[in-house]
Amino acid sequence: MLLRKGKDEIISILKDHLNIVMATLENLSNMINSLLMLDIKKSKEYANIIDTLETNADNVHREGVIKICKGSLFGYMREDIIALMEHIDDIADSAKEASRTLLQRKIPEEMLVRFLNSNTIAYVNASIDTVKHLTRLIDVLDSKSDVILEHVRHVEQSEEYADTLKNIVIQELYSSSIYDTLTIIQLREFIQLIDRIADSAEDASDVVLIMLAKGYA
Amino acid sequence: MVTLHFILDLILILYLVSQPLLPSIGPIIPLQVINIVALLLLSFIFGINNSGVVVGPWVSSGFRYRRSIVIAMIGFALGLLFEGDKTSYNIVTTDAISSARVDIARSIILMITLVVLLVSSYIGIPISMVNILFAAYIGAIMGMNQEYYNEYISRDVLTTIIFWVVLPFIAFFLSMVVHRIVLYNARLLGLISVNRFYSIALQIALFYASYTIGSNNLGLLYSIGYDANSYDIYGIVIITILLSAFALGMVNGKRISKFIGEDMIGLTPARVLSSILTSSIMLWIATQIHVPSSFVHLLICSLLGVGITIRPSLYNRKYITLLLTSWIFLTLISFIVSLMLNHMIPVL
Repeated sequence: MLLRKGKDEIISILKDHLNIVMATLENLSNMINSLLMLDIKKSKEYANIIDTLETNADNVHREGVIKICKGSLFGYMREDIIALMEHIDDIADSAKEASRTLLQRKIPEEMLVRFLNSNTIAYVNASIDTVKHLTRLIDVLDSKSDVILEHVRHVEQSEEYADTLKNIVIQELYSSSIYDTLTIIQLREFIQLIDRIADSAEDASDVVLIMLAKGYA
Repeated sequence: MVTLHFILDLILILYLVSQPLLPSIGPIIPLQVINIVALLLLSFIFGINNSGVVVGPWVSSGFRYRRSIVIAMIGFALGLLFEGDKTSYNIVTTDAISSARVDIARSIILMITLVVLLVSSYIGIPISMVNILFAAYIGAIMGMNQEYYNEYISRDVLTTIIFWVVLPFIAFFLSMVVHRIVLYNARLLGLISVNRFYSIALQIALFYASYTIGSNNLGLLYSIGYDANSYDIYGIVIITILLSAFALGMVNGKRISKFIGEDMIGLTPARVLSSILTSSIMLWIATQIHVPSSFVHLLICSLLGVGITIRPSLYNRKYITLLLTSWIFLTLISFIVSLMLNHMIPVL
Protein backbone atom coordinates (compact mmCIF):
# COMPACT_ATOMS: atom_id res chain seq x y z
CA MET A 1 0.00 0.00 0.00
CA LEU A 2 2.88 2.30 0.78
CA LEU A 3 4.35 1.50 -2.60
CA ARG A 4 1.07 2.16 -4.38
CA LYS A 5 0.42 5.49 -2.66
CA GLY A 6 3.81 6.79 -3.59
CA LYS A 7 3.55 5.65 -7.17
CA ASP A 8 0.15 7.33 -7.63
CA GLU A 9 1.45 10.51 -6.08
CA ILE A 10 4.45 10.87 -8.40
CA ILE A 11 2.54 10.08 -11.57
CA SER A 12 -0.31 12.36 -10.54
CA ILE A 13 2.07 15.30 -10.06
CA LEU A 14 3.62 14.73 -13.47
CA LYS A 15 0.32 14.18 -15.26
CA ASP A 16 -1.27 17.34 -13.80
CA HIS A 17 1.65 19.30 -15.14
CA LEU A 18 1.62 17.61 -18.54
CA ASN A 19 -2.14 18.10 -19.00
CA ILE A 20 -1.76 21.85 -18.74
CA VAL A 21 1.24 21.75 -21.08
CA MET A 22 -0.77 19.75 -23.64
CA ALA A 23 -3.61 22.30 -23.40
CA THR A 24 -1.02 25.00 -24.15
CA LEU A 25 0.09 23.15 -27.25
CA GLU A 26 -3.47 22.56 -28.45
CA ASN A 27 -4.13 26.26 -28.25
CA LEU A 28 -0.87 26.96 -30.08
CA SER A 29 -2.08 24.70 -32.88
CA ASN A 30 -5.44 26.50 -32.92
CA MET A 31 -3.64 29.85 -33.02
CA ILE A 32 -1.60 28.79 -36.04
CA ASN A 33 -4.76 27.60 -37.81
CA SER A 34 -6.37 30.99 -37.12
CA LEU A 35 -3.35 32.76 -38.59
CA LEU A 36 -3.63 30.58 -41.64
CA MET A 37 -7.23 31.81 -41.99
CA LEU A 38 -5.83 35.35 -41.51
CA ASP A 39 -8.07 35.75 -38.45
CA ILE A 40 -5.62 37.87 -36.40
CA LYS A 41 -8.18 38.74 -33.74
CA LYS A 42 -8.89 35.06 -33.04
CA SER A 43 -5.21 34.22 -33.00
CA LYS A 44 -4.59 36.95 -30.42
CA GLU A 45 -7.29 35.42 -28.24
CA TYR A 46 -5.59 32.07 -28.47
CA ALA A 47 -2.28 33.72 -27.61
CA ASN A 48 -3.83 35.13 -24.43
CA ILE A 49 -5.15 31.69 -23.51
CA ILE A 50 -1.66 30.24 -24.07
CA ASP A 51 -0.22 32.93 -21.81
CA THR A 52 -2.69 32.07 -19.03
CA LEU A 53 -2.11 28.35 -19.40
CA GLU A 54 1.66 28.80 -19.29
CA THR A 55 1.31 30.74 -16.04
CA ASN A 56 -0.87 27.90 -14.66
CA ALA A 57 1.78 25.42 -15.78
CA ASP A 58 4.40 27.41 -13.86
CA ASN A 59 2.24 27.33 -10.73
CA VAL A 60 1.64 23.60 -11.02
CA HIS A 61 5.35 23.11 -11.62
CA ARG A 62 6.26 25.07 -8.53
CA GLU A 63 3.73 23.22 -6.34
CA GLY A 64 4.89 19.90 -7.72
CA VAL A 65 8.52 20.68 -6.94
CA ILE A 66 7.60 21.69 -3.37
CA LYS A 67 5.66 18.45 -2.88
CA ILE A 68 8.56 16.39 -4.17
CA CYS A 69 11.10 18.24 -2.04
CA LYS A 70 9.00 17.73 1.06
CA GLY A 71 8.12 14.15 0.17
CA SER A 72 9.66 11.47 2.32
CA LEU A 73 10.02 8.52 0.01
CA PHE A 74 11.51 9.88 -3.17
CA GLY A 75 15.08 8.93 -2.31
CA TYR A 76 17.53 8.99 -5.13
CA MET A 77 14.84 9.93 -7.65
CA ARG A 78 14.09 13.34 -6.20
CA GLU A 79 16.47 15.34 -8.37
CA ASP A 80 15.54 13.36 -11.48
CA ILE A 81 11.83 14.00 -11.05
CA ILE A 82 12.53 17.70 -10.54
CA ALA A 83 14.65 17.73 -13.71
CA LEU A 84 11.85 15.94 -15.57
CA MET A 85 9.35 18.59 -14.47
CA GLU A 86 11.78 21.31 -15.50
CA HIS A 87 11.92 19.97 -19.06
CA ILE A 88 8.13 19.63 -19.18
CA ASP A 89 7.84 23.25 -18.08
CA ASP A 90 10.25 24.25 -20.86
CA ILE A 91 7.70 22.89 -23.35
CA ALA A 92 5.04 25.30 -22.13
CA ASP A 93 7.55 28.17 -22.06
CA SER A 94 8.56 27.48 -25.65
CA ALA A 95 4.94 27.30 -26.79
CA LYS A 96 4.20 30.67 -25.21
CA GLU A 97 7.25 32.31 -26.74
CA ALA A 98 6.47 30.80 -30.14
CA SER A 99 2.95 32.27 -30.02
CA ARG A 100 4.33 35.69 -29.08
CA THR A 101 6.96 35.61 -31.79
CA LEU A 102 4.37 35.19 -34.54
CA LEU A 103 2.26 38.08 -33.22
CA GLN A 104 4.96 40.51 -32.09
CA ARG A 105 5.10 42.03 -35.54
CA LYS A 106 2.45 41.95 -38.23
CA ILE A 107 3.74 39.64 -40.93
CA PRO A 108 2.49 40.55 -44.42
CA GLU A 109 -0.37 38.24 -45.33
CA GLU A 110 1.21 36.88 -48.46
CA MET A 111 4.34 35.84 -46.54
CA LEU A 112 2.32 34.41 -43.68
CA VAL A 113 0.22 32.22 -45.96
CA ARG A 114 3.32 31.16 -47.88
CA PHE A 115 5.11 30.21 -44.67
CA LEU A 116 2.23 28.33 -43.06
CA ASN A 117 2.25 25.68 -45.77
CA SER A 118 1.77 21.95 -45.34
CA ASN A 119 5.40 21.37 -44.37
CA THR A 120 5.30 23.96 -41.59
CA ILE A 121 1.97 22.63 -40.27
CA ALA A 122 3.40 19.10 -40.37
CA TYR A 123 6.48 20.34 -38.52
CA VAL A 124 4.42 21.95 -35.75
CA ASN A 125 2.28 18.81 -35.49
CA ALA A 126 5.38 16.61 -35.32
CA SER A 127 6.70 18.63 -32.38
CA ILE A 128 3.36 18.37 -30.63
CA ASP A 129 3.28 14.62 -31.34
CA THR A 130 6.64 14.31 -29.58
CA VAL A 131 5.00 15.74 -26.46
CA LYS A 132 2.06 13.33 -26.88
CA HIS A 133 4.52 10.45 -26.90
CA LEU A 134 6.03 11.89 -23.74
CA THR A 135 2.58 11.92 -22.14
CA ARG A 136 2.20 8.23 -22.96
CA LEU A 137 5.64 7.61 -21.50
CA ILE A 138 4.60 9.25 -18.23
CA ASP A 139 1.46 7.08 -18.21
CA VAL A 140 3.60 3.94 -18.19
CA LEU A 141 6.25 5.25 -15.81
CA ASP A 142 5.56 2.52 -13.28
CA SER A 143 5.84 -0.26 -15.84
CA LYS A 144 8.77 -2.59 -16.41
CA SER A 145 11.93 -1.26 -17.99
CA ASP A 146 11.33 -2.75 -21.46
CA VAL A 147 7.93 -1.03 -21.75
CA ILE A 148 9.41 2.28 -20.64
CA LEU A 149 12.31 1.92 -23.08
CA GLU A 150 9.88 1.33 -25.93
CA HIS A 151 8.08 4.60 -25.18
CA VAL A 152 11.35 6.47 -24.78
CA ARG A 153 12.26 5.26 -28.25
CA HIS A 154 8.96 6.61 -29.63
CA VAL A 155 9.73 10.04 -28.17
CA GLU A 156 13.20 10.02 -29.70
CA GLN A 157 11.95 8.91 -33.11
CA SER A 158 9.27 11.58 -33.09
CA GLU A 159 11.84 14.24 -32.19
CA GLU A 160 14.10 13.08 -35.02
CA TYR A 161 11.20 13.30 -37.46
CA ALA A 162 10.44 16.83 -36.22
CA ASP A 163 14.11 17.70 -36.77
CA THR A 164 13.92 16.46 -40.35
CA LEU A 165 10.86 18.59 -41.04
CA LYS A 166 12.53 21.58 -39.37
CA ASN A 167 15.39 21.38 -41.88
CA ILE A 168 12.92 21.34 -44.76
CA VAL A 169 11.02 24.35 -43.38
CA ILE A 170 14.23 26.34 -42.82
CA GLN A 171 15.46 25.52 -46.30
CA GLU A 172 12.18 26.71 -47.78
CA LEU A 173 12.40 29.90 -45.71
CA TYR A 174 15.89 30.75 -46.92
CA SER A 175 15.43 29.72 -50.51
CA SER A 176 12.24 31.67 -51.10
CA SER A 177 12.62 35.21 -52.40
CA ILE A 178 9.33 36.64 -51.15
CA TYR A 179 10.37 37.13 -47.51
CA ASP A 180 12.02 40.31 -46.30
CA THR A 181 14.93 40.09 -43.88
CA LEU A 182 12.98 41.02 -40.77
CA THR A 183 10.31 38.42 -41.53
CA ILE A 184 12.98 35.77 -42.06
CA ILE A 185 14.45 36.59 -38.63
CA GLN A 186 11.01 36.48 -37.03
CA LEU A 187 9.98 33.22 -38.66
CA ARG A 188 13.33 31.59 -37.97
CA GLU A 189 12.92 32.36 -34.29
CA PHE A 190 9.48 30.77 -34.43
CA ILE A 191 10.94 27.63 -36.02
CA GLN A 192 13.62 27.39 -33.32
CA LEU A 193 11.03 27.73 -30.58
CA ILE A 194 8.91 24.95 -32.08
CA ASP A 195 12.10 22.87 -32.22
CA ARG A 196 12.64 23.57 -28.52
CA ILE A 197 9.26 21.99 -27.78
CA ALA A 198 10.36 18.68 -29.31
CA ASP A 199 13.85 18.96 -27.82
CA SER A 200 12.48 19.53 -24.32
CA ALA A 201 10.24 16.50 -24.67
CA GLU A 202 13.21 14.43 -25.77
CA ASP A 203 15.31 15.77 -22.88
CA ALA A 204 12.54 14.74 -20.52
CA SER A 205 12.65 11.21 -21.93
CA ASP A 206 16.43 11.18 -21.38
CA VAL A 207 15.81 11.89 -17.71
CA VAL A 208 13.54 8.84 -17.61
CA LEU A 209 16.41 6.82 -19.10
CA ILE A 210 18.68 8.02 -16.27
CA MET A 211 16.04 7.01 -13.73
CA LEU A 212 15.93 3.57 -15.32
CA ALA A 213 19.69 3.21 -15.16
CA LYS A 214 19.78 4.20 -11.49
CA GLY A 215 16.85 2.07 -10.49
CA TYR A 216 17.96 -1.17 -12.07
CA ALA A 217 21.75 -1.02 -11.87
CA MET B 1 33.02 22.21 16.96
CA VAL B 2 35.75 19.82 15.68
CA THR B 3 38.50 22.37 16.42
CA LEU B 4 37.26 22.81 20.00
CA HIS B 5 37.12 19.05 20.33
CA PHE B 6 40.67 18.78 19.03
CA ILE B 7 41.90 21.28 21.64
CA LEU B 8 40.05 19.48 24.45
CA ASP B 9 41.57 16.18 23.39
CA LEU B 10 45.06 17.63 23.37
CA ILE B 11 44.59 19.00 26.89
CA LEU B 12 43.29 15.63 28.04
CA ILE B 13 46.14 13.70 26.44
CA LEU B 14 48.74 16.02 27.94
CA TYR B 15 47.14 15.58 31.36
CA LEU B 16 47.15 11.80 31.02
CA VAL B 17 50.75 11.73 29.86
CA SER B 18 51.83 13.93 32.76
CA GLN B 19 50.31 11.66 35.45
CA PRO B 20 53.21 9.18 35.76
CA LEU B 21 55.58 12.16 35.96
CA LEU B 22 53.80 13.76 38.93
CA PRO B 23 53.67 11.08 41.61
CA SER B 24 54.39 13.52 44.38
CA ILE B 25 51.60 15.90 43.53
CA GLY B 26 49.03 13.21 42.82
CA PRO B 27 46.21 13.53 40.29
CA ILE B 28 44.16 16.70 40.52
CA ILE B 29 41.22 14.84 39.11
CA PRO B 30 40.80 11.10 39.75
CA LEU B 31 41.94 8.98 36.84
CA GLN B 32 38.58 7.22 36.69
CA VAL B 33 36.91 10.54 35.92
CA ILE B 34 39.51 11.35 33.28
CA ASN B 35 38.94 7.93 31.72
CA ILE B 36 35.21 8.56 31.50
CA VAL B 37 35.82 11.93 29.84
CA ALA B 38 38.18 10.23 27.40
CA LEU B 39 35.59 7.55 26.77
CA LEU B 40 32.99 10.17 25.91
CA LEU B 41 35.37 12.04 23.64
CA LEU B 42 36.19 8.75 21.97
CA SER B 43 32.56 8.01 21.41
CA PHE B 44 32.14 11.49 19.91
CA ILE B 45 34.88 10.78 17.38
CA PHE B 46 33.47 7.31 16.81
CA GLY B 47 30.18 9.01 15.98
CA ILE B 48 31.91 11.24 13.42
CA ASN B 49 33.54 8.24 11.77
CA ASN B 50 30.39 6.16 11.78
CA SER B 51 28.26 8.89 10.33
CA GLY B 52 30.25 8.25 7.19
CA VAL B 53 30.22 4.50 7.03
CA VAL B 54 26.58 4.05 7.98
CA VAL B 55 24.94 7.25 6.82
CA GLY B 56 27.25 8.04 3.92
CA PRO B 57 26.03 5.36 1.52
CA TRP B 58 22.48 6.26 2.40
CA VAL B 59 23.04 9.94 1.75
CA SER B 60 24.76 9.20 -1.55
CA SER B 61 21.52 7.58 -2.70
CA GLY B 62 19.68 10.80 -2.06
CA PHE B 63 18.17 10.43 1.39
CA ARG B 64 17.98 13.08 4.08
CA TYR B 65 20.92 13.30 6.46
CA ARG B 66 19.06 14.21 9.66
CA ARG B 67 16.43 11.51 9.26
CA SER B 68 19.10 8.87 8.76
CA ILE B 69 20.92 10.06 11.91
CA VAL B 70 17.78 9.58 14.03
CA ILE B 71 17.14 6.06 12.70
CA ALA B 72 20.79 5.16 13.18
CA MET B 73 20.86 6.39 16.80
CA ILE B 74 17.90 4.25 17.80
CA GLY B 75 19.63 1.25 16.27
CA PHE B 76 22.93 1.96 18.01
CA ALA B 77 21.24 2.30 21.40
CA LEU B 78 19.25 -0.92 21.07
CA GLY B 79 22.30 -2.84 19.84
CA LEU B 80 24.42 -1.68 22.75
CA LEU B 81 21.73 -2.42 25.33
CA PHE B 82 20.61 -5.82 24.05
CA GLU B 83 23.81 -7.42 22.75
CA GLY B 84 26.62 -5.08 23.77
CA ASP B 85 27.95 -7.55 26.33
CA LYS B 86 28.80 -10.15 23.68
CA THR B 87 32.01 -8.39 22.61
CA SER B 88 33.10 -7.14 26.01
CA TYR B 89 36.77 -7.25 26.99
CA ASN B 90 37.87 -6.08 30.38
CA ILE B 91 41.09 -5.27 32.17
CA VAL B 92 40.85 -7.28 35.35
CA THR B 93 42.78 -6.84 38.54
CA THR B 94 44.98 -9.75 39.56
CA ASP B 95 47.62 -10.39 42.19
CA ALA B 96 50.06 -8.62 39.91
CA ILE B 97 47.78 -5.89 38.62
CA SER B 98 46.13 -3.44 41.02
CA SER B 99 43.03 -1.37 40.23
CA ALA B 100 45.19 1.75 40.06
CA ARG B 101 47.35 0.09 37.46
CA VAL B 102 44.22 -0.93 35.56
CA ASP B 103 43.10 2.71 35.50
CA ILE B 104 46.45 3.75 34.06
CA ALA B 105 46.32 1.01 31.45
CA ARG B 106 42.79 2.08 30.55
CA SER B 107 44.00 5.67 30.20
CA ILE B 108 46.78 4.61 27.86
CA ILE B 109 44.41 2.55 25.71
CA LEU B 110 41.92 5.39 25.45
CA MET B 111 44.63 7.95 24.82
CA ILE B 112 46.17 5.96 21.96
CA THR B 113 42.78 5.33 20.40
CA LEU B 114 41.85 9.01 20.75
CA VAL B 115 44.99 10.22 19.05
CA VAL B 116 44.66 7.84 16.12
CA LEU B 117 40.96 8.50 15.62
CA LEU B 118 41.45 12.24 15.96
CA VAL B 119 44.07 12.30 13.25
CA SER B 120 42.02 10.14 10.89
CA SER B 121 38.86 12.17 11.52
CA TYR B 122 40.73 15.39 10.81
CA ILE B 123 42.10 13.97 7.54
CA GLY B 124 38.71 12.53 6.63
CA ILE B 125 39.49 8.81 6.31
CA PRO B 126 37.26 6.24 7.99
CA ILE B 127 39.38 4.23 10.39
CA SER B 128 38.26 1.25 12.40
CA MET B 129 38.03 2.23 16.05
CA VAL B 130 37.59 -1.44 16.84
CA ASN B 131 40.96 -2.40 15.41
CA ILE B 132 42.79 0.46 17.12
CA LEU B 133 41.05 -0.02 20.46
CA PHE B 134 41.49 -3.78 20.47
CA ALA B 135 45.14 -3.56 19.38
CA ALA B 136 45.85 -1.03 22.13
CA TYR B 137 44.01 -3.26 24.61
CA ILE B 138 46.09 -6.33 23.65
CA GLY B 139 49.28 -4.27 23.82
CA ALA B 140 48.30 -3.07 27.29
CA ILE B 141 47.59 -6.57 28.61
CA MET B 142 50.81 -7.96 27.16
CA GLY B 143 52.77 -5.00 28.49
CA MET B 144 51.39 -5.40 32.01
CA ASN B 145 51.35 -9.13 32.48
CA GLN B 146 52.57 -11.56 29.86
CA GLU B 147 51.44 -14.59 31.83
CA TYR B 148 47.91 -13.29 32.22
CA TYR B 149 47.81 -12.62 28.47
CA ASN B 150 49.05 -16.11 27.62
CA GLU B 151 46.55 -17.75 29.94
CA TYR B 152 43.37 -15.80 29.28
CA ILE B 153 43.60 -13.67 26.18
CA SER B 154 45.86 -15.22 23.55
CA ARG B 155 43.30 -17.64 22.11
CA ASP B 156 40.69 -14.88 21.76
CA VAL B 157 43.25 -12.67 20.07
CA LEU B 158 44.19 -15.36 17.59
CA THR B 159 40.51 -16.01 16.79
CA THR B 160 39.87 -12.31 16.38
CA ILE B 161 42.81 -11.76 14.04
CA ILE B 162 41.78 -14.73 11.90
CA PHE B 163 38.24 -13.42 11.58
CA TRP B 164 39.49 -9.92 10.82
CA VAL B 165 40.91 -11.44 7.65
CA VAL B 166 38.24 -14.06 6.92
CA LEU B 167 35.08 -12.02 7.44
CA PRO B 168 35.91 -9.30 4.87
CA PHE B 169 36.65 -12.01 2.29
CA ILE B 170 33.29 -13.64 2.98
CA ALA B 171 31.63 -10.23 2.81
CA PHE B 172 33.30 -9.61 -0.57
CA PHE B 173 31.75 -12.70 -2.13
CA LEU B 174 28.47 -12.67 -0.23
CA SER B 175 27.76 -9.13 -1.39
CA MET B 176 27.83 -10.29 -5.02
CA VAL B 177 25.11 -12.84 -4.25
CA VAL B 178 23.02 -10.38 -2.25
CA HIS B 179 23.34 -7.81 -5.04
CA ARG B 180 22.04 -10.26 -7.61
CA ILE B 181 19.10 -11.14 -5.39
CA VAL B 182 18.28 -7.47 -4.85
CA LEU B 183 18.49 -6.71 -8.58
CA TYR B 184 16.39 -9.72 -9.48
CA ASN B 185 13.62 -8.55 -7.17
CA ALA B 186 13.95 -4.93 -8.25
CA ARG B 187 13.46 -5.86 -11.89
CA LEU B 188 10.07 -7.34 -11.05
CA LEU B 189 8.89 -3.89 -9.99
CA GLY B 190 7.98 -0.82 -12.01
CA LEU B 191 10.25 2.23 -12.06
CA ILE B 192 8.36 4.23 -9.42
CA SER B 193 7.69 1.20 -7.22
CA VAL B 194 11.38 0.29 -7.23
CA ASN B 195 12.19 3.75 -5.91
CA ARG B 196 9.74 3.18 -3.06
CA PHE B 197 11.17 -0.27 -2.45
CA TYR B 198 14.69 1.11 -2.06
CA SER B 199 13.46 3.93 0.16
CA ILE B 200 11.89 1.51 2.62
CA ALA B 201 14.52 -1.23 2.34
CA LEU B 202 17.39 1.19 2.91
CA GLN B 203 15.81 2.57 6.05
CA ILE B 204 15.47 -0.96 7.40
CA ALA B 205 19.05 -1.83 6.37
CA LEU B 206 20.37 1.35 7.98
CA PHE B 207 18.63 0.49 11.23
CA TYR B 208 20.01 -3.05 11.16
CA ALA B 209 23.53 -1.77 10.43
CA SER B 210 23.29 0.63 13.36
CA TYR B 211 22.07 -2.14 15.63
CA THR B 212 24.98 -4.43 14.74
CA ILE B 213 27.54 -1.65 15.18
CA GLY B 214 25.99 -0.72 18.50
CA SER B 215 26.17 -4.28 19.76
CA ASN B 216 29.65 -5.08 18.44
CA ASN B 217 31.62 -1.84 18.47
CA LEU B 218 29.95 0.26 21.15
CA GLY B 219 29.85 -2.79 23.38
CA LEU B 220 33.61 -3.17 23.06
CA LEU B 221 34.17 0.54 23.65
CA TYR B 222 32.06 0.53 26.79
CA SER B 223 33.67 -2.60 28.22
CA ILE B 224 37.26 -1.50 27.69
CA GLY B 225 36.66 2.15 28.40
CA TYR B 226 34.55 1.73 31.52
CA ASP B 227 33.89 -1.76 32.84
CA ALA B 228 32.73 -4.86 31.03
CA ASN B 229 30.63 -6.12 33.90
CA SER B 230 29.06 -2.93 35.03
CA TYR B 231 25.46 -2.55 33.94
CA ASP B 232 24.33 -1.00 37.20
CA ILE B 233 22.82 2.48 37.51
CA TYR B 234 26.21 4.16 37.01
CA GLY B 235 26.82 2.00 33.98
CA ILE B 236 23.44 2.93 32.50
CA VAL B 237 24.18 6.63 33.07
CA ILE B 238 27.55 6.24 31.36
CA ILE B 239 25.91 4.42 28.48
CA THR B 240 23.37 7.22 28.09
CA ILE B 241 26.00 9.92 28.05
CA LEU B 242 28.16 7.79 25.75
CA LEU B 243 25.30 7.50 23.26
CA SER B 244 24.66 11.23 23.46
CA ALA B 245 28.28 11.99 22.66
CA PHE B 246 28.10 9.50 19.83
CA ALA B 247 24.99 11.18 18.43
CA LEU B 248 26.68 14.57 18.58
CA GLY B 249 29.59 13.13 16.65
CA MET B 250 27.32 11.75 13.95
CA VAL B 251 25.76 15.14 13.39
CA ASN B 252 29.25 16.54 12.78
CA GLY B 253 30.42 13.81 10.43
CA LYS B 254 29.33 15.03 7.02
CA ARG B 255 32.86 15.13 5.54
CA ILE B 256 33.42 11.41 6.00
CA SER B 257 29.97 10.75 4.58
CA LYS B 258 31.12 12.47 1.42
CA PHE B 259 34.33 10.41 1.30
CA ILE B 260 32.52 7.09 1.46
CA GLY B 261 29.62 8.09 -0.71
CA GLU B 262 31.29 10.00 -3.50
CA ASP B 263 35.07 9.74 -3.46
CA MET B 264 35.57 6.01 -3.40
CA ILE B 265 33.14 4.26 -5.70
CA GLY B 266 30.06 5.05 -7.74
CA LEU B 267 26.98 3.93 -5.85
CA THR B 268 23.44 3.02 -6.86
CA PRO B 269 20.67 2.18 -4.42
CA ALA B 270 21.00 -1.53 -5.21
CA ARG B 271 24.72 -1.55 -4.45
CA VAL B 272 24.25 0.47 -1.29
CA LEU B 273 21.49 -1.81 -0.05
CA SER B 274 23.42 -4.99 -0.87
CA SER B 275 26.62 -3.72 0.76
CA ILE B 276 24.98 -2.52 3.95
CA LEU B 277 22.94 -5.71 4.33
CA THR B 278 25.97 -7.94 3.74
CA SER B 279 28.23 -6.09 6.15
CA SER B 280 25.49 -5.96 8.81
CA ILE B 281 24.92 -9.71 8.55
CA MET B 282 28.66 -10.38 8.83
CA LEU B 283 29.01 -8.04 11.80
CA TRP B 284 26.07 -9.67 13.54
CA ILE B 285 27.71 -13.08 13.04
CA ALA B 286 30.95 -11.67 14.45
CA THR B 287 29.03 -10.44 17.51
CA GLN B 288 27.51 -13.88 18.09
CA ILE B 289 30.99 -15.50 18.06
CA HIS B 290 32.29 -12.72 20.37
CA VAL B 291 34.68 -11.23 17.83
CA PRO B 292 34.96 -7.42 17.79
CA SER B 293 34.94 -6.54 14.13
CA SER B 294 35.07 -3.48 11.96
CA PHE B 295 31.98 -2.46 10.06
CA VAL B 296 34.19 -0.20 7.93
CA HIS B 297 36.22 -3.16 6.67
CA LEU B 298 33.17 -5.24 5.98
CA LEU B 299 31.32 -2.43 4.23
CA ILE B 300 34.19 -1.49 1.98
CA CYS B 301 34.86 -5.13 1.05
CA SER B 302 31.15 -5.54 0.32
CA LEU B 303 31.15 -2.44 -1.86
CA LEU B 304 34.16 -3.74 -3.75
CA GLY B 305 32.52 -7.14 -4.16
CA VAL B 306 29.41 -5.57 -5.62
CA GLY B 307 31.36 -3.15 -7.77
CA ILE B 308 33.64 -5.74 -9.30
CA THR B 309 30.75 -7.55 -10.96
CA ILE B 310 29.53 -4.43 -12.73
CA ARG B 311 30.92 -3.27 -16.06
CA PRO B 312 32.04 -0.58 -16.52
CA SER B 313 33.12 -0.06 -12.93
CA LEU B 314 34.87 2.93 -11.53
CA TYR B 315 37.23 2.80 -8.55
CA ASN B 316 39.38 5.33 -6.86
CA ARG B 317 42.40 3.07 -6.37
CA LYS B 318 44.40 5.73 -4.63
CA TYR B 319 41.84 6.01 -1.83
CA ILE B 320 41.41 2.25 -1.51
CA THR B 321 45.19 1.79 -1.21
CA LEU B 322 45.30 4.61 1.35
CA LEU B 323 42.59 2.91 3.38
CA LEU B 324 44.25 -0.51 3.37
CA THR B 325 47.69 0.75 4.33
CA SER B 326 46.34 3.05 7.03
CA TRP B 327 44.30 0.23 8.56
CA ILE B 328 47.25 -2.12 8.88
CA PHE B 329 49.78 0.53 9.81
CA LEU B 330 47.69 2.27 12.47
CA THR B 331 46.59 -1.01 14.05
CA LEU B 332 50.18 -2.14 14.41
CA ILE B 333 51.28 1.25 15.73
CA SER B 334 48.51 1.20 18.35
CA PHE B 335 49.55 -2.25 19.53
CA ILE B 336 53.26 -1.42 19.70
CA VAL B 337 52.83 1.94 21.44
CA SER B 338 50.40 0.49 23.98
CA LEU B 339 52.74 -2.44 24.65
CA MET B 340 55.74 -0.18 25.14
CA LEU B 341 53.98 2.37 27.34
CA ASN B 342 52.43 -0.25 29.57
CA HIS B 343 55.71 -2.12 29.81
CA MET B 344 57.60 1.05 30.76
CA ILE B 345 55.21 2.18 33.48
CA PRO B 346 56.03 0.31 36.68
CA VAL B 347 53.47 -2.13 37.99
CA LEU B 348 51.72 -0.66 41.04
